[in-house]
Order: sequence, then structure tokens, then C-alpha cells
Amino acid sequence: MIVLRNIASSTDMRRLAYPILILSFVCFVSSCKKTEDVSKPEIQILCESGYICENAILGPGEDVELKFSYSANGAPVTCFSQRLFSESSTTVVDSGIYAENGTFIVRISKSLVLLEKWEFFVRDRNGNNSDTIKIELHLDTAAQFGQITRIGSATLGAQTSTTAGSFFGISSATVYDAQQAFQNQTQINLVYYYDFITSDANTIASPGANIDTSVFSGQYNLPNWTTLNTTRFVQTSVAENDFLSATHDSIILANGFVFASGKRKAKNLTAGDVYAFDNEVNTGLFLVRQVSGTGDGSITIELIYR
Amino acid sequence: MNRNITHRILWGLLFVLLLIVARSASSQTVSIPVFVSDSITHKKIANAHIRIDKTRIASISDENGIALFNIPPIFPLGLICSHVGYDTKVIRLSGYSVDTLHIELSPANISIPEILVTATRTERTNISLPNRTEVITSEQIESMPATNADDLLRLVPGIYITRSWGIFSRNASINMRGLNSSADILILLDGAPMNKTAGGSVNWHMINSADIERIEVVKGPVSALYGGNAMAGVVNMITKKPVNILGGYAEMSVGQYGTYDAGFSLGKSHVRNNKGFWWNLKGRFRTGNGYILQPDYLKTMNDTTLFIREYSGGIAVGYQFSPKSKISIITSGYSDIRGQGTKIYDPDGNPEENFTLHTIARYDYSFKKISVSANAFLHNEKYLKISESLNSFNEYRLYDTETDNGDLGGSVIATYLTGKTNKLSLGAEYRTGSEYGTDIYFTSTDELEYQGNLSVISFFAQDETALLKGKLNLVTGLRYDAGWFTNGSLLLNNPSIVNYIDENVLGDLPESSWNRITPRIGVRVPLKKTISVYANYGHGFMPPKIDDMVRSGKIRKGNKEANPNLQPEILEHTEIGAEYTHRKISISLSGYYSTGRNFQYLIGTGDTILSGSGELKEILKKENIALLEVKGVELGMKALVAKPIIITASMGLNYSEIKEFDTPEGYTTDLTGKFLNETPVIRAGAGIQYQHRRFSLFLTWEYTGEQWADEENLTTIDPIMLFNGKISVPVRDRWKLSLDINNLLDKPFIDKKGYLSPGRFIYATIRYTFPG
Repeated sequence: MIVLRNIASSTDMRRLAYPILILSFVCFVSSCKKTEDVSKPEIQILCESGYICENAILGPGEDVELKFSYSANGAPVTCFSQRLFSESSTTVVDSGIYAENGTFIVRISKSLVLLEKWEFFVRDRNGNNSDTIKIELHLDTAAQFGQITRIGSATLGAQTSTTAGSFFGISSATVYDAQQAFQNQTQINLVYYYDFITSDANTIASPGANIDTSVFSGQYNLPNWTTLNTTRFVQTSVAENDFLSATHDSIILANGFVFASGKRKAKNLTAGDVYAFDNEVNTGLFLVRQVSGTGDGSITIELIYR
Repeated sequence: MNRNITHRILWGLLFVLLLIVARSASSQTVSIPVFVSDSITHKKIANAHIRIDKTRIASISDENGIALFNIPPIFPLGLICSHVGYDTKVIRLSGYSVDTLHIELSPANISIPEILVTATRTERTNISLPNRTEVITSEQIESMPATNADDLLRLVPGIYITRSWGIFSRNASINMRGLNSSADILILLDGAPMNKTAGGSVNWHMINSADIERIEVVKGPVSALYGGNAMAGVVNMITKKPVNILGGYAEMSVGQYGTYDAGFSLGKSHVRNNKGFWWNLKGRFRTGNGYILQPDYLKTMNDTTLFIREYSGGIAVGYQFSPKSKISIITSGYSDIRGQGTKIYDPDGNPEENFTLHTIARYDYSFKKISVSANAFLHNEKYLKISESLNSFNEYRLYDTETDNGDLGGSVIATYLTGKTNKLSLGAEYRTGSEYGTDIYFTSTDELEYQGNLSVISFFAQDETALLKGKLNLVTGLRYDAGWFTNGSLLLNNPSIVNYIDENVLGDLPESSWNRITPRIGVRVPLKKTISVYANYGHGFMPPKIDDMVRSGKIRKGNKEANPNLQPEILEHTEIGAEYTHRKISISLSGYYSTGRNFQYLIGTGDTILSGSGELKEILKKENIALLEVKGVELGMKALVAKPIIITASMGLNYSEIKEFDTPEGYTTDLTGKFLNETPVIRAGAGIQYQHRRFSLFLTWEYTGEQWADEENLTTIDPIMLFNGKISVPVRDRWKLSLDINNLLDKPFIDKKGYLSPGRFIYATIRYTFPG
């Protein structure tokens, strides 16, 4: 019995083999996606009660909070970055951390700028940035400005003054001496002293500003406190007349700043200086009416806040 | 920790293997008694040192003046017999032809003229040089207390070494003759420069004292011969070369603070009848857990012990083509990781890592009256530092610094003997250095990137003449250097409030160039057989460092701004000196006066920036603005008190004052009338060396006077007095036990940064040296 080979079939197979091989190769190559060779950390904005998680329209001075969660992916997270892009400026605030995961709360007080573009991301130990979360805050131009509280005159004494206390509580509008301040730590927002050490002269700071321990002394000295409120400051170009004639908070909002970008001390104060302040409860301005002396000197300020 | 144990086991096994090799290499020897006596009194001499030339086979005579010597069959050989207070004698042996060998030694001067190569780049005796020179011999290197190579320089008059943390220090700072920068001294290893163009500093950790044959120190500017960095002087370390039988050493050490050390060297010369090759291998590993830098009253939870892990190795090969022609290539590698004593979050705390590769190639050729030497070198260093900090507000900062520095260069020098007593040398050199670095922040988005190149081309000439029938030795020299700075750039990506850099220094940095002509003239006159005097005048210069020209960023004082227009510092120097040598004592005295121009200072620009913590920080910049005056006196003495006891003493006095401070407009600093910081007025040292039959002892004392800690002369560093010691005990033929004790009296001191020194540090070593 003679068996004839199906030559035509085998030839067909050979003919098909090469195209199949080529096609397979093409499929193989095209299926190879360039894998992400960077493991980056993750960030999410949380939509929880009391927090916003999307674009919003806010009235001037309206306060909102945003809550984020972050997590590492191969390396600890080392930075939470928040950036504000407005019409005329960019503000960058980076907070150093070292954690595998965590949450971060950002408090924003809407400024007078029509549109605020906020960006948030985290960075890890390998220098990889997460995706960026973007939030836009629009100004509600129909909203009314808010009321302000004015403290007409507050006189504080420097560290060795025997006529006036060095500590001030904004909410209570009260000047405290060292002992009183120690007993009312949660009330204290401002501290006045004369700085001989760094030539900052007449200075207003706050308990959390790391004031040199040699400035004050005694058992009520700041290192012995358990509550250290922090107030931050930015010098403004507000004219004295504009400050004195303000009736609502537009002047405060116009001179607002991102809390973490403010300075911990207002230094070399002279009469006529106007500083914006923020203690994460109240934002406002103070005007220096009078300042004199050194370690036993005094300062008189007028404050408005919202 | 497991890695550490594994390393120790591996090194221990290697040590044992080397011992086995060594033992088999030393099996075929014949024992011959050698009797040593005084040629005049004929009395027996105990503790005489007998060594076979070009090997490490050695023995010491006992109280009867007899040493039983194991001589291998490598005839003809030279037997070298020496003892303190006697001329060294060399006996040639052609075979095992004697039952007892009798060697008579003649009493000699304590100071034997040494042949030096560094002061003139030609061979000259130290007594003919118009410079103050010092030689640290192999015998001193072997017996001195030293846990680091730079410790060997501690008794040299005029040298001040800062190494506050001992072996745990990041590096050593070596100052000479009233100048306060390590970059002012040129450090050579086998003739090739170790100073980096990027920062001027030298990595002393990669130099192992056990591998050094000798150290030559030339004081005063030698820039007319060596160019940049040789402003205060030159230190040339010459490494050991193998001999004609397989030999080397293996050693292990243990020290305080969990310190372990193991090293070896193995080599052989196959050169026969001035032809053949030689090779040498070496390696070393050292680890230590360290101690806490902060004094007890300042310790915080973030303070942790320093630690070190070092690895080094090298290979050297050479070939002798003929008696007049030879080539050699030496490559050394070094890697370390060192903790900095703090740890906040990062697993290793704030470590610094370093990887360095250093290669030298050299070719020597001589023909009739001409000798030519060509050198090439390549030095590359990769550096990584992790910086963590918590400021006073508990704000966390983390950034990494990575730099890649490279130096490449070569030189050719031809020396012509124009007469019996005259040599003319002509030379050319080229050197290029580069730096590329980044500061990457992880607690903000700042990324700083900087780079630059500095190249120098040079030509020099030197004439050495002996006039008046050798009664006047004259050396004159002239050198021209031209340097140019290129490829400079400074970029700051994604800046935040953490970093502030004036936009005028961002981007491509302007190119700059400079040139220098440095003269030199010196004369030495032997007044009598025992007294000679010398005088010299010369210039020196230190080129600007790439780091200062391209890098802006945070430093302790504030924010430093790059200055690509920096020019070299210049020193004009005049010196006179005298030397007295007699049989049992030698005394050297030098006085010098120098004026420095264009000295660089970091000064406040008048601007400030607000740091991330809300503090105002000064912006600083290095500028060439000071006129400096340096006056000094040095005294050195060496005395043979009794036959086995040698005393050395040194003292240096110098005053370094800023005479003019040319403050640029807008800048705020003026340091006129201030004294250089970190430059003690008084520096003294002494050493007692005692050679007993069964052991050798070396005790040293160092005194560093009060010095200014800062440029404004507001704070001082208290005087420091230290006693160190080393005792070595030879055991059998080739074993040696030694004990190094730094700071014998355990007096820790606080350094200029407020950190604690380690106090007493004990280091025990066992070493096996085998033939070769």
C-alpha cells in the first residue's frame, strides 16, 4: 500500500507558519506595554462630613476644610505639598513627614481673588510624586462681607515692664501678666518683648514661636507651659487711615495669607506698621499706635479681626 | 548586623589562608648565628636590628649580642645591621660559607642625611635643600601610635591636625604654618595629587599607614614646582614596593566601640638583572559601632552612635624594561559608609557614603645625563549624604546630596645634568577637575543641580646648582599656570520656600580664567660640618574650588551663594633657618614671614532670606577680599639620650592676622584686625621612643594652644593636651602584637562644633609578616 503524502497540506502549513510567526511576534511586541517603572505614593481627597472634596463657590472669608489621606507605595511618604495659584501669585507650602500612611487636613479661608486654584500631592522617600488633586474655589461675588471686631487699644509691656503685662488674648481682648498668662494659656495669642539677642528689637510673637528662653524668666516662663498657641504674621502695606476706617472684613481678606506661609514673629515694630495675623481661629490686622523703650518698654496696638 | 558577622568570618578565613601561604613560603631557610659588637669598644650590642635587604626577614640581637638568623637561599644577599647611635652596616653574603657571622658597628651621628625626592622632584639629600623638610621613616611609621595615616604627621613642627572623633571622623583637616585650610597643602600619594579640584580636600581614610614606606614633608610654598594647593607645603606619601620573594603581611585589630579591622598585603618582585615585573595586592576592612557625639547634658532621643564600615583594596603592577626604564600602575579603591550621630526617621540615620577610585601610572626613563618621568593620574569620587533634621519647631527636613567628582591629569618632567653639580629640570602638566552634584529634597519639591569644570595647564623650570665647591647650594624655579572654569551651571527645579537662590546665579554660569607666575629661589650654606643655614623666597597659590564656584545652598551659617568668578589665593613667603647636627642631637630652627593676597572668605552679602522655620538667615558668598599676614617660628629637636632611647620634640608659633579686608559695596562683614580661626598660636609635641630587646615603646605628647573658633573672633576653643602611646611586642620570628592607645589619660574634649571626642581609644593589633 502506498501512502501519498499530502504535499499540498504540508506546503500550506509552511506557508502559513511564517505569517503566523510574524503575527505572533507582532502581537507579542504590541502586548508588551511599557510598565510603570515608578512606584509612586497615593493621595485621596475624602468626602466626609464637614469637609469639601470638589470645586466650590465660597463667600469672601468663608472657611472650609479639606481632608486627605495618603499612603506609601514602596517608600515612606515624606512631604505633603499644597500649592495655591491665584491671578497674581503662587504660594507653595510643603510639610515634612515620614510615614507609611496618614491623613492631612487643610484649612482654607476664601480670599477676595475670584479664582483660587489649589493643588495637593505627596512625595515619597524616592522622590516620586503622587498624582495631583486639584480643587478650584470661586468667589461668590454676591456674598456680603463679614463683620469685624475692633479692639481699640491694647497696651503691652516688654519682658521687664512693671506697668503692663506682655501677653494678650485676642478673643478675651485682655492683657495678661506672666502669672495670669500661665493660668490662662489657652487664651494667649500674642506675646510682646524686646529682643536684645538677634537685634529684632520690638517684637510681637506668640507662645508657640520658640522665643529664646532667656527673654522671660521665672516659674511662669514659656518652656513651662503646656499649651502654646501659634500666631503667624505678614507685614502689609495697609495705610493707617484705611485700617482705622475699616468697617467690614474686606481689608482683612485682601491681606490674608496661607497660614503656614506666615512668619512666626513681627519684628522691629514701629508706629504705623500694619501686620496681618492668623492664629487658626481668628484672622485680622493690627496697627502699631505707639512703641517705646526696650526691655521695660511698651507697645500700644489696635486690632481688627474676623 | 548579620552582614557584619559574615564579613568578619570571611576576613578571618582570609587571614588564616594567608598564614598558610606565608608559612610554606618560609620553609627553606638555614639558621646562622650573628654576633654584633661595637667597633671601638668591642662590647657586645644588644637589640641590634638585622635585616635581609629587600625582604622583611629580620631579627634582633639578645643581651649577648647574638641573633639567630634564618637565612633563605636567595644569594647573593645584603644583610643590613642597624642600631640607634651607630652607622648602619651592610654585609654582602654569597652563600652559607660561615658558621658565625660577626658584625662590628661604628658609633654615628643621630641625623643621617636622607635622600628626598619631593622638594625638587629630583633626588637630593635633605642637608642640601633650601627648605625645611621632614622625613618620617618606615621605622617611625611602624612604631608611632597612629590609627590613621594622618596621625603620622602629628609630631611634625608646624603641622596641626584636627580629627576630633578619631577613626570615626568624616575626615582629617591638616593645616600647616598658620594657614587654616586643608586645601593649602598638596598631598601626594606616590607623587600623584590626592587633593580634589572640587573641594580641595583629601580622603585620608583611603590611605593605610601599614602600606606607607616613608613620608616626605616639604614646608613653605612649593607651587613653583607643583602648582596649585602647594601653598603651605607638600606631603608626599611613598608606598612600599614588593621585594624579590613573595611577601607581605596579614593583620587583625580590635578596638573600643566595637571596632574591628583586618588587612593584608601580598606582593613579589620578579625583577632579575634589572628586568621583569612586580606586583602587589592589598586589602582592608574596618568596622566600628562608634559612640554618641553629644555631651550627656545635650543628648536627645535623636542622637545615636557614629558608625563606620570601610572597605579598601588595591593592585599595583610594574615592569622594569632595563636599568634605565620602568613603568608602574597603581590602583586603589575605597568605599565607606559613616553615620553622623543622629537618626530621626531614616533607617541608617544621616550616613555619608563614599566610593573613591585612584589610579596612578608612571614611566621613568633615563639616558646618559637625561632622566624623564611621566605621570598620569585619575581620581574619581562618588559621594552621597543623607541629611535629616528637626528644627526648633519640630519641622522635619530631609534631603540627599550626591556628588560625582573627577580629576584627571598628567605631567612630564625632564631633568638634565648640565654639570657635576648642576641639574636643570623642565616640565609640563595638565589637570582637569569636574564636579556634578544634586541636592534632592524629599520634604519639599526642591531639586538643586550644579556642575562645573576647572582645568589647568602649566609649565615649569627649575635649576639646582652647587656653587663654591659645594659651599652654596642654590635652587631656583619658575612656573606658569593658566586655569579656566567652564561648563558651570546651577539649576533649581520646583523651588519652595526651603531654598532661595538669587536668579542671577541660576542657569549657565559665566566662564572665568586666571593665570599665575610663581617664582622660587632658595639657598643653603653649610657653615661647618655640623651647622648649615638656609634662606628661601617663593610664591604659592591655591586655585578656587569648583564647589565654591557652582554650588548654592544651605550651610550652618545661612544660605551660601555660588561665585563663579573666584580667583586663586596667593601667598608670598620668605624664610630663614638653621640646622645643627651632632652625634647625639640635631636641632632645626626656622622663621618665616608670609603675606597672603586674595584670600577667600565667606561673607554676608547684606541680604537675608526667611527660612522655612520663619527665621531670617544671612545670604553668604565667598569672595577674594583679604590680605593676610603670617609670622611664625618652628623648632625641632631629635636627641639620642641613651642608646635605646630617642627623644623628639617640636614647637611651632604663628600669628595669622587679617591686615586688610576689602569689603565689597553692599556687603556687611569686615574682619580687619581679626586672627584666622582654627589656627592655634602655639602647637607643641614630643615623643619618646624606647627600643628594648623584647618590646618597643613610643609615647607622644601633643599640646594645642587656644584658638579662635569663628572668623569674627568671638568664641575660643580651649587648649588641648593629649598623651598617646604604642607598645609593640615581637613574638617569635614574624608575629607582632601591638597596642595603640590614643588619649592615654582619657580626657575627652569638646570640639569647635560642640561635639565630644571619644576619650581614650585602645586598639590592639596582631600582625604576621612573612618573607618579602
